[in-house]
Amino acid sequence: MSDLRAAPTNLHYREARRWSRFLKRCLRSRNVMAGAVVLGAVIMLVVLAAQISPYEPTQQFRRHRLQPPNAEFLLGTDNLGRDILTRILYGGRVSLQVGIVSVAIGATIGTLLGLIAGYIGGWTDVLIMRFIDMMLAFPGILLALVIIAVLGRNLQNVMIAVGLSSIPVYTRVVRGSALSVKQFDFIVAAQALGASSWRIMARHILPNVLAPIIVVATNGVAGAIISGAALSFLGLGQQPPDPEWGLMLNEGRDYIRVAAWVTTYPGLAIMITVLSINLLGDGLRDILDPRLKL
Amino acid sequence: MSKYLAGRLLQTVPTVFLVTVAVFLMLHLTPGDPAEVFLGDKRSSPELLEKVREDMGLNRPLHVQYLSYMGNALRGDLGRSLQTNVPVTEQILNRLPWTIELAAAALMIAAFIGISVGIIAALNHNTIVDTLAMALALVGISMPVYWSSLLLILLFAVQLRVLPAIGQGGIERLILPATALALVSAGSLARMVRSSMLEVLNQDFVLTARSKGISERLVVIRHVLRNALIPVVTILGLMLGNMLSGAVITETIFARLGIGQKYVEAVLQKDFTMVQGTTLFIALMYVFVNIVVDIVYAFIDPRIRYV
Repeated sequence: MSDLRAAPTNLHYREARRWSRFLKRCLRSRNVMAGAVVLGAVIMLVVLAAQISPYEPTQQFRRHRLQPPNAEFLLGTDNLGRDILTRILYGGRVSLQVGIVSVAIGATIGTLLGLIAGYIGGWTDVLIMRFIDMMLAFPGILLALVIIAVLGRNLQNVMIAVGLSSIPVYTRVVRGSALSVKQFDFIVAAQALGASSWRIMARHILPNVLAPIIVVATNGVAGAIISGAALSFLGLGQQPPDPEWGLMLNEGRDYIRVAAWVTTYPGLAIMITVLSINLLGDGLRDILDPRLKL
Repeated sequence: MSKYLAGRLLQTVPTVFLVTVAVFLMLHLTPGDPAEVFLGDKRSSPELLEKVREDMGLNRPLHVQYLSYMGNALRGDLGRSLQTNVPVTEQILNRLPWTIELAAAALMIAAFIGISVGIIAALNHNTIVDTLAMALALVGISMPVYWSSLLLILLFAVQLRVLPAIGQGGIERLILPATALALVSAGSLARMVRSSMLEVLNQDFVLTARSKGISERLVVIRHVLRNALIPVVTILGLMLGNMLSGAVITETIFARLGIGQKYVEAVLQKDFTMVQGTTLFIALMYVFVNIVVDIVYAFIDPRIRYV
């Protein structure tokens, strides 16, 4: 009940102190800092693609096909004579967008379902969790593939598919946390004051389950980038001639014997990005929720 | 024990039911008329559409359609491929061995690498060895399977020319795809084994074992490993899921004619019956494997029976 005894005027101050403590711990965490710096650099490069590169992503230099990296084309050219560096920069926009949008879709729906299942309980809980079990029966990228098969193949559907297929993780984590938060006195107090279920879920439970959501969502962006690129790699997402990392890997695959750089660099771009996000996620987990096992 | 088993089995009934409903509804959730989906890119006149509806029973109420689909499925009839007109079940069964071979090999490689790296890291906790091992694990987790596949091809097939890049049959064609598929799982397994080992190493019974004066080797093998590896069993099911979904990609890259490769082909060709049948098959197989894993786990870990 210590929460109730604290003077209300202290609340803002305490909130601010919690934030500054969190930021301090982030600054001290090697994982968080390394991840944030690399990811920040990736985002900068991708956003400034048009300023950095002198070429267009679909511009073809027919006389310079499959050139190894050189002064003119820093990372070489592909089979149509397009500059690989330029395509990686522009392609990164797509991959990052897929990562963020899918996580937004999955985290929003998943959190909502988890809150309802955990707080309301009863038959609602059973129904939601059986539905989640059903989704989990389609392992990994298969659920996304099914959704693409139903909706049709394009980039927008990739984001929807990857997003929807990530719902179960959020629902499970949020439901678990909501169940334990529900037991606390401040929830009982809010109920006694006549707060509606929605208000309690939004105002009292959600802030207390935010930590695991942030951790899962961070790693989720990495996973979504991998899945999104995988779908484009398989020909189900971004369509040529526009660039995307997975698509570039697939296009370079046929030339791997003569021009390895066409596949090596886009792959490296995915790996560096995903690695930095995972580092960030690991660091955040250590700070926010050390017991959370992923 | 039997109570636990019964409960676990009972729990899967609604899951299996919902999976079959979802797979059945796939066709009806697709934008447009199911009959048009069946006809695919072929030109469709109104008469033809009506004939397809009649033939496929699409005019009947939904629940009747579901029951007849499930009735057929239980008899092993998942319809015929829209592309090749070969029975779906036949195609799945023809390709299944290649996928099982790949998944089994990958599982073994992942278990070997993951468990050894995890043990080495835990035994050298907070040393440079630990740091390196965990960095390696993180790289493994961050490597998309299509990227590691291409790197392995580049290194072993193009540069060193010691292993064939594509095809199936024989162990030399299995090593590369299985390794590529194993790497991600190996990474997460190594992390899990490490943290599980560290937890057990701090337990009182390990201290007792050490104080008895037996060698550290024996302590680790007899007391630590046996307890630390129990939770690892639970993620075997999860790993199999990784393998199945990763197989979709590795089989495509390495041109292995397994279920995953067929699945992608079917999605690309809009071969709806094939997609539907394969989805149902894979999902049910995955649910089944997870039941088996849970049961095995209950046998290994006596504590679970009382929960």
